[in-house]
Amino acid sequence: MDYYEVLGVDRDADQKAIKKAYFRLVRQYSPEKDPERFQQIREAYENLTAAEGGQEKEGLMLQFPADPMGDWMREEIVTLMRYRDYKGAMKVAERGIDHYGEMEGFLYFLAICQIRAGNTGKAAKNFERLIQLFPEKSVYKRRLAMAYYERGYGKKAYEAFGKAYEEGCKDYDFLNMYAMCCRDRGKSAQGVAILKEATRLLEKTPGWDLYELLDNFGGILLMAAAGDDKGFAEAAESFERFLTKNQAGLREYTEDVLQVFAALIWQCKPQSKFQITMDLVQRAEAILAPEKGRERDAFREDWKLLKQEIEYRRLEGDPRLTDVMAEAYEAFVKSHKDSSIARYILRDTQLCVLEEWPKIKAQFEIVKKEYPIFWEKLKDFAYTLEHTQDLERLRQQYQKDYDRREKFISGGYYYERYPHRRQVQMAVQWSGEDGTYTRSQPKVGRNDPCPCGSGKKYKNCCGRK
Amino acid sequence: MGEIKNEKSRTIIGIDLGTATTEAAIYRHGKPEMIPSFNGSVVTPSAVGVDESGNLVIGEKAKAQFIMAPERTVIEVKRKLGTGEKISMGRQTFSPVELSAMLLEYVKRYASQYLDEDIDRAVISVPAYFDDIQRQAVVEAGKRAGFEVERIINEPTAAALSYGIDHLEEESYILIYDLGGGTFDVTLLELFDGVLEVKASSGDNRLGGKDFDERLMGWLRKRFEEKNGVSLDGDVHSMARLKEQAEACKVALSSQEEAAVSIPFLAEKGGVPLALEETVTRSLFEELIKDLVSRTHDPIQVVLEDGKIGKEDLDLILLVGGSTRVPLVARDIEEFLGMEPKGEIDPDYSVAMGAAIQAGIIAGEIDSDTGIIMTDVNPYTLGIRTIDDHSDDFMSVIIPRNVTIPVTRHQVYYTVVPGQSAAGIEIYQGESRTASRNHLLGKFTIDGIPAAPAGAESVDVAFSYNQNGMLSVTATLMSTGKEMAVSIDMMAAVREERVDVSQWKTSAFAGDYRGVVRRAEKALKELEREVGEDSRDMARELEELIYQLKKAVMEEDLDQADRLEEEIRDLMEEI
Repeated sequence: MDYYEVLGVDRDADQKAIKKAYFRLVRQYSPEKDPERFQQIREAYENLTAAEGGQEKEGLMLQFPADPMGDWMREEIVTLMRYRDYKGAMKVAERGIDHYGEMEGFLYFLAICQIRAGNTGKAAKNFERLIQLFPEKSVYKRRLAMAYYERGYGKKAYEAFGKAYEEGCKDYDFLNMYAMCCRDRGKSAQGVAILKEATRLLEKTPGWDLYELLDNFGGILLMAAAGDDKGFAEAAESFERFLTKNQAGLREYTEDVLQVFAALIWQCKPQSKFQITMDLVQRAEAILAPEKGRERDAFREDWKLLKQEIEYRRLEGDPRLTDVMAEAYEAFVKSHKDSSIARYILRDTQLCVLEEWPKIKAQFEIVKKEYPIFWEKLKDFAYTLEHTQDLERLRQQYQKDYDRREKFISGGYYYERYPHRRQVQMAVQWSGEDGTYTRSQPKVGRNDPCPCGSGKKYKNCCGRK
Repeated sequence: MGEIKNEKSRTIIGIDLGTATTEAAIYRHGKPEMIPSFNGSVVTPSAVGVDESGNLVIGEKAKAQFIMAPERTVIEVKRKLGTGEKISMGRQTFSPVELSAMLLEYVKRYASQYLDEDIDRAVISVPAYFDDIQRQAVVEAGKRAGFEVERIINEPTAAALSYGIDHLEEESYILIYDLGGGTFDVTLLELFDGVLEVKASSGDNRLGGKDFDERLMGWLRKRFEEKNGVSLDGDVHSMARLKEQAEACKVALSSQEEAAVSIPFLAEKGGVPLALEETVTRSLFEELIKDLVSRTHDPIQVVLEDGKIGKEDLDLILLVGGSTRVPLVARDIEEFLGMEPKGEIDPDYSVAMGAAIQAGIIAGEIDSDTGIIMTDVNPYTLGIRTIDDHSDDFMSVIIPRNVTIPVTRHQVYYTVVPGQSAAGIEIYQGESRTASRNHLLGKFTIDGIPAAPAGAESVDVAFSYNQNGMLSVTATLMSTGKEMAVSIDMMAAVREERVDVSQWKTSAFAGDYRGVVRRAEKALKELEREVGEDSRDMARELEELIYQLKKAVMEEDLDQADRLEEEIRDLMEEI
């Protein structure tokens, strides 16, 4: 479609003439009267004005050869790009360069198509060339930085981002990528500052999406977690403000907020960050909690698990506590579901603790003081240990139960660590005094389900002769 | 008698269904004209209630009983439109759509009486910032009231129309500042050669005059409670009276420097009645609402940026909405934009009149050669779900928001796996980059894609969206030319009423589908006995398909029925 012809204006018509022609035609073919024709007029108008407006936005006024062949090539590239045929568009642009030399417009389109087609390396080369030719255009510096980053040239990208930023490139996509680049280079404080700028920009955009905003604030939090405590505390505070401000809207995104925290847990190493994280989580819970009903119960459950996870991660990194305590955390707190495996793990842990008792008592004191969720679950067992006179009997009692379970489930630490405790298993035990024998376990009938858990009958499974 | 009445009436009226008040207008004899209600007033309070004997009362009467009986009266229902909230009125509860329908039905009655003909077509205005669900709620309310809703028009656009119709020859950029009872909209328009073109719009759908009332109410309440040492918590009657007086005080402060608020017997303490007596100065009131007013700056900045013009390019600022009567508002705009806003149009009537002008354009009452013409923009982004490098839930935009409609846009998509034989097209509407967070409008599958490496086959997806809210989507397989298309009527309320399908067997075509329905119903029963998320989902899907099939058979839409039959068979195989 020849846009100039549709609007009935000359090829050298200025913006004012184009506008005038457009409005005159709208009157003639209004959307109500002739929607088909209106759309053509509109398309022509948008293209003839946007071509300029769009380039202006990037600070571009592209050079193209001023002859019919050049015009045709330019139109062809734009059309092919609209249909996402980047390979085709690249070919035309390359032909243009062959024919006319390094014409800005062709180089630019070639580079853009290369990026879209995934040839970021070649695109970067072309942007480098464009910057050489047109050092005053900041938009090429912006593009180059993004191309480097996509290519994976972290160091080069970081420098290029800095330069483009200085020259005033501050749009949302650019800032986002810049922030990620900073993070990758380990410059978390800078990344946070840039991501904050992007977030402010997003908030100003009409119709901004709360989810995307959450993504940004979450990103700031995660990035700050890699930095120092002060920056992290600040980020936590601003995240909390964001939650308070969008309290109502965020209710449907509570799962996503949870995900932010889940990601955060894995970022946090030092102890101080755990405390800030825990405080933030607790306040977030208060802000987002639904008022009543089953939703509230489900919500509580989710956050309970989250808080457990935070405590667990802190405990894992606590140098004062041994592996046994981490295992105990899993057994007592995390796998509270009433399954036979859970009971087996619990016994395993209890036995391991018993072996270490009372050496391990000091660790129990630490838990009592600093790990409230854990202590809540552990305190009954701690009480038992404190007040049982005959610990050896308790151990035997546990071990008996443990052995029974161990027939079906394996993977416990107990016998691995304390192999001397394993008793030689005998199917038949003689009672020394009167010569009768008792089975150590109930007899399995031929047609009973096999105790190995295969689901087959005993005679068809382990009982087969 | 004996007349067959099957033609729709030619007359279309315009309705401004506001948060606080509702107005109706008609375009006739070459100009818009307000329609008075039964009591002769052209402004009807947007209030619905039931009186002591259980009769429905609407408008002035309902507003009058609000103070005495807030539990039987509902106001500001517009703020709840599009939410699932239930509102109690007397002993019953209603949805916001039902309550809005009562208001519209009232308008329909008085307009029909005034114009002496049965009015059943209307253009209804909504805040520009209403989302699709809220818009559909309005359409649904109109339908329930017995209107064919011809068009939903944005309130600021309507206001601009009522200005533009008298200023056809001007060439100007107009900023419409619409601060209503519950919402704030700002729209930038260009008037050129009698054509009014919407350039950009933005706003804040939780900012309005009611927030001013609440600030004032809060202040009065705090003063009263502190002075007397009582609490008004949970006292609906006192709060209703306080609200009424706060609103009256706000209105009075628009024309005078101070206003007295006096409420006798607002509460009691130890058997002694307590009265509220306060004098509120304008400057105090302005202090209370200052931050609210300055919240309008950001949206203004946004429309200027989107419209690519500067503050100095504006030719005219028009104030719309009752809340712009607050003197601080005009002062604030003048300070911010460096230009005095015009009060040239009546803030209360201009939206209804603009809606009537739009109705006049649709009905052909306005000559398109000499009269005003308007182009509008689509209010929300449309696109499909695609797979990109990072996720399989990416919203690929085909028509962005704020694009002038009618519009057709294409996008080509490529296959992602080798030998891909079909592609699902899921159509979404909304602003999130994650497709599933947007509103799913419909979906279909294009199959028969020839076996080829990934990326070698492509599908061209075309979206056509017009000013009547019709979206048609066509997917064309580029290599074979195979086409699949679907039309979505966004003006048809999505949550359509269920039709009664129990008599489907009486259809002449039922015979062909009896078998599949019987088998599907049997499978459904079995599914319902099973437990687990998966089977529940499947049961739900199957149930819907059975319903759709029966409906299609009843409507004798055999193409649709065949398609559904196939879908049911596919699903049953999965089960």
